[in-house]
Amino acid sequence: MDIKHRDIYSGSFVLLFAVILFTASFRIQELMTEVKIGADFLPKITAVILAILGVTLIFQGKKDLKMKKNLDTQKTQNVLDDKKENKDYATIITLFLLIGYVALMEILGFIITTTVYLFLQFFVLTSRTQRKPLKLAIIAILISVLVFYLFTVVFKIMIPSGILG
Amino acid sequence: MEMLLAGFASIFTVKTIMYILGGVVIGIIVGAIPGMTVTMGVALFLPITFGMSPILGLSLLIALYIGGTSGGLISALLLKIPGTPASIATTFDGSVMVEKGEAGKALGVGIVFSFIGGLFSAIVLAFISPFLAKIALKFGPYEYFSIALFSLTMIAGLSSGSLVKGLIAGMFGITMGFVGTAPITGFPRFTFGFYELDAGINLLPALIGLFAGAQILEYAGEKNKDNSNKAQVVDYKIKGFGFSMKEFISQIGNAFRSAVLGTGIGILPGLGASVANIAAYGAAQKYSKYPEKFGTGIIDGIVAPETANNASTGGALVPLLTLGIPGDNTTAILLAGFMIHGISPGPLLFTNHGDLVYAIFAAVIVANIFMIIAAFAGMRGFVRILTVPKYILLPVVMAFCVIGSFGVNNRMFDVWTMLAFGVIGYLMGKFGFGKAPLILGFILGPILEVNLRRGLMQSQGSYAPFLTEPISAIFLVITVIVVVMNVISEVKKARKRKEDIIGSVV
Repeated sequence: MDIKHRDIYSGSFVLLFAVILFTASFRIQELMTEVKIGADFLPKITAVILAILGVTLIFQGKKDLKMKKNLDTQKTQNVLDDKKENKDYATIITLFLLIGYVALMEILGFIITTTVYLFLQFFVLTSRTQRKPLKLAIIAILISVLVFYLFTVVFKIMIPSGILG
Repeated sequence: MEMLLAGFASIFTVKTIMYILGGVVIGIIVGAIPGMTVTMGVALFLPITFGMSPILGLSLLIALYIGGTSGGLISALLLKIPGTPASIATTFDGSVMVEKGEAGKALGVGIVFSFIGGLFSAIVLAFISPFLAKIALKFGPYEYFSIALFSLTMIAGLSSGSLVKGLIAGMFGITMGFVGTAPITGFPRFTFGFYELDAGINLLPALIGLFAGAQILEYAGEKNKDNSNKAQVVDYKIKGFGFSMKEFISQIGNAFRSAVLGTGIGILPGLGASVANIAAYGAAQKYSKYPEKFGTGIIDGIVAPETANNASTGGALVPLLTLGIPGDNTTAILLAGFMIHGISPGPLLFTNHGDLVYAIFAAVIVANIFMIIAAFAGMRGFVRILTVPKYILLPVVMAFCVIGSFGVNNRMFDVWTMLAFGVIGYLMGKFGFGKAPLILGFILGPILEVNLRRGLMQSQGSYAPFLTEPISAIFLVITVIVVVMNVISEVKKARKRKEDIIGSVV
């Protein structure tokens, strides 16, 4: 994603969302009441307002872009704008780790999934020089066991225990 | 007064006192660690309170809230990074004082005036909220509708930067509130076939995801992770409170103004410590005899934001307890905390659970006292914790998020909700949308809708009572005024921006 167009992108998304919300509002079932306003009233109003705001945002984004372009042509190229955004593999990997973590928790239980998740997540968030696998593994195991007993025994909270429980 | 004493009596058990102390200490730590906010801390600890009595659980949460609001100043001064948005203005003069070698003095001033601000607002809370609750008891749907609408206009104050984006976030929040069983008639809508959504999107996992879950995704995307791990902690010395009696007296006027301002901003629904500290700094400078000295490292610049941010805590509890409308993000989570214990805040709370209300007042006061003690006694320890690397901290926070969301209803669905909101929070940050307006919309949307429809049923379809009922009318008029003022300032801003850009080209 490039930072220059983000308002235009998000504005378009808002507009799309508003249209979907508006059309979906027609499908709300309801008994007939004497009062004119039903469960679809506020969703429709919100959709209309969102649509207006979305268009405003696109408009603003375009205007900003134009002004910036004018600046760029008259002055030297803006270095920051030119720099390509780092492809954020770390964020995407983290997201998949999280999905896997939650998906496997019910089957494998808290302790196992948390240990594995923590270890992998530490790995993703550290640079090559910082990675000390043994140290990180010990931290991961200690934390998951400690947290599990802290919550289940001391605070008496349910946690999925999975195959160990 | 008797009630307040009874409140103290109910929290003076060894267990409750220990929990309050522990909550304050953890709160200070959470507040001090940059990237961990008070909101996040309270959200993470909410699940722990599931198994506790309401008084114990809520005392703990309030202790976390007060500790957390105070903790931000430690990193604002010693790391020169505000630990929470509540201490942004503290860095203005604070960092200069630290450079001059007055770190100890700056810390002392910050802690003492945080305490004063907190205590001031606690007293205001204890005195005005029973009175307000009595008035609020008479409120019907018209009044609630108008107050909710007025509260929504506070989004303008929360949307730093772009008003349009703030409004969009607020509207998204309202849309989230639509999910689930529609009010009055009871048909489910926007549930996408998930029966788990019949009761609506659960507030707690959503909050945990937005404020805590999103953090790890944000951190993963940050560059130069190596450098940010080892933060530079400034060395400091402190004697006594770190400042003289004469300096204290010179600040009384400033502190009083900031305390009143902070409490007032706290009371306004939706605005909290993050707005209060900056507003108080601005006001202190404006009314100072030596405004030119601000930013050069004078204690006035620490007194104002630190008094105000703690003063906003008691203020934010006022609308929460009397109307059930949270005053800021953190009280939004406290609201969830009440609901978990089957208590819905609002004017009836004072008649039905008077003991609990006064126990909360007492807890606010005790937490403030513990805060000043703990902050002075434990300073060196807190500073050490600031150096725990984030690559360990944030994954652990994530594990807490999972436990917390699961604990709400003991179902994985809420964990998925949390995760989804973590992603939403991350994307919102990336595209420059604020999270606070979203929460405000989410909480106020249903209140708005229920009361609009209830009101129209009562009046048999007539809109007139919304305008003829005096309190409702007053709030509607204020709403219109706020909206008009915002539009004017937005137009001015747009014009100025245009001139700036043109000016910079020419």
